[in-house]
Amino acid sequence: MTRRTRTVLAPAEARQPSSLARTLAALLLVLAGGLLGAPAAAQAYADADELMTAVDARPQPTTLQATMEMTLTNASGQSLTREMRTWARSDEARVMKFTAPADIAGSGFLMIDDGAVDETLVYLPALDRVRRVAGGQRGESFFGSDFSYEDVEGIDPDDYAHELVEVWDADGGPVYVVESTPLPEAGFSYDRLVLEVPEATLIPARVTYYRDGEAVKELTVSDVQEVGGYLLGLERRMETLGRDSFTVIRQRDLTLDEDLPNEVFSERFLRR
Amino acid sequence: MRRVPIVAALLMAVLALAPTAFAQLRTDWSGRLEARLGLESTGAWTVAGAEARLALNGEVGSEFFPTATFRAELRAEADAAGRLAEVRLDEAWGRLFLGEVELTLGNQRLFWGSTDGVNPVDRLNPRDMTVPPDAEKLPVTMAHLRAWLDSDVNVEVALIPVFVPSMPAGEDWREEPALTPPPGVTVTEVRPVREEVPGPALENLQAGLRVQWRPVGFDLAASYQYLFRDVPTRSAEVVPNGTPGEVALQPVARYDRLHVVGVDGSVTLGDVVLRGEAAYLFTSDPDGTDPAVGNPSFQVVVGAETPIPDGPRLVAQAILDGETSDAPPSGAAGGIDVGLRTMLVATYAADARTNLKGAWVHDFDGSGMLRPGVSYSFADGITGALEGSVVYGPDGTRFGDWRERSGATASLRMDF
Repeated sequence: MTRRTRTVLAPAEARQPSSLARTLAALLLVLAGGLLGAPAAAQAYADADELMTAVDARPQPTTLQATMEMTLTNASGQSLTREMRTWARSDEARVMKFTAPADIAGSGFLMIDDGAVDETLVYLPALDRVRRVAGGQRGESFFGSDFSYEDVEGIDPDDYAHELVEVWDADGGPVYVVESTPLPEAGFSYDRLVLEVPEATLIPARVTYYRDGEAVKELTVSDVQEVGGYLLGLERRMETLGRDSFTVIRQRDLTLDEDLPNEVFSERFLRR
Repeated sequence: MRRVPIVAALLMAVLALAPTAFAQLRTDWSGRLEARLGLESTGAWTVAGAEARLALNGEVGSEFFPTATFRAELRAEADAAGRLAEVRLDEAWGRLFLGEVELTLGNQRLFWGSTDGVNPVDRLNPRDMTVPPDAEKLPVTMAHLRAWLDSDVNVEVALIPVFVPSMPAGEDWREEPALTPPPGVTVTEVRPVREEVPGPALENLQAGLRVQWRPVGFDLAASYQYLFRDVPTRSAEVVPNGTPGEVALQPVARYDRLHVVGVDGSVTLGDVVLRGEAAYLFTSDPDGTDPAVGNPSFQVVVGAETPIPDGPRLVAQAILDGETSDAPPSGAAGGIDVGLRTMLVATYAADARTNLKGAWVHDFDGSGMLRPGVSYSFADGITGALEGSVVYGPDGTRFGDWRERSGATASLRMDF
């Protein structure tokens, strides 16, 4: 992504500058744009809430079935590969089952969050038991990877307060930088997230996760493709900062918008 | 030679049916190779061997809920320390999906209960207790039916036609009970133990029923089991040998009947999952007067599980055991012997390859056991593990008699 022109938005409490300050800021922006040789592109979204509403409203398949390959790489460059099959209905229900390697094949989890129901269940075949995962355990590593359970669940804009802190122009158009602070009732383990959202795709291309004020993880979404009429990021790379380990999840064999019976999102299907 | 046309006809019939019956048959093979070496503080090898497992898994039917699934696993094990070399059929079962009902027939393991490690209601399968305190569950021939009344409620029924006892502790671990002769007689002979194992008869059927309710946020289950005790009650019969004042003792190991009533459940409270389980074992000797029949007993387990942010996941449990005492000769009512243990388990994934685990069990009789362990994934499906055990406590306590058995075990396994 080529950064050419940058628009910096001041924090909310400093957004009442004097007229002199506003004039100077505008002048600086014009100068900056002129110096860099590219005018700031028109921004379609004036604030973070408008942007995140658009992100949330982005056309999504009603159901998704896919094979996911997860590659875990440590700081020495050694890798482990895990493969799983996933079934999802919008953002409200998801089942994931590991198919390889053999020592974890059959393990899986079920996440349901449709407003009325909100729970995550884990199935471990060695114990043949379905276990409920407590809220705090959402911050735990997802089967040894750099993703945690809450990372895998994705980002629901309604669970955060958003603030637009920066906009820059790239080849594909404006990229918005949004700081999202989890609402206390959401029960997330992070203090805040910083998302980079290209206007062209409305798929967060990069997410930096902060805990205790420090950036602890960075998610990069790539291989954005149109599949079945939807724009999807087929590769997600999560790096644990400071440990130099990362996990890449790639999706393939996608089937979209095919009816999935309710029974798929059940304990019964999880353990079968 | 007349068999040829019959075989050919059968083959033709199978080939004719195959496209429809097995059009959606999917199978896969999996297995494990593992080598283990264990040494205890006495200098003796507790295990020095290898195990190979080969399993065939399959299903017939659609992807979401097939018509049927099946699994069969062979295990071959050789252990120089235990002087064991055997090949045996482990699990071998088929499962039919009949709408909201699943029927599983064959050699299988069934897991009931909610707590960790100690499950008072989980009694249907025998166990391998060769090297205590490990007690791996063994498969047993069973018919198991699970019916989903709705998405929150399921009912399980299990029938075990033939009783199989647990494998007893190895000779080195076995504690033979003292056989007390009646006063005034001389024991001239102690005969070999007579083991009375319930035979394969309808009257020796074992059964279990469990109803589980799992709405959002918590689950609760109630169960009833009609079983035989999986480890025998030991007693001795006095056999006159024809000489006044002299008797022979006939030790008897008897598997007496049990009625087990249990409840278990778990609930999520913020970052904590609370789990609980309790079972009461009714026997045919409620007063503790018959030495040949075990006394009524109960076990209650309560525990909590919580993750420490960026740290280990902790499980803390308290285990209360109680058993009706043998009735005193005076005829007065016996009391209840109780024991209390605590268990603390910490698991921590240091990275994608390294997992640390530590368990500490402490009995309030002053004995206990520490079991630290580490496992490391060398590559996909290849895992090495090192586990130690440190036992402490005075003689005569739950763990104290094993304190010389502290040791360590190393293993390397490949799953495929």
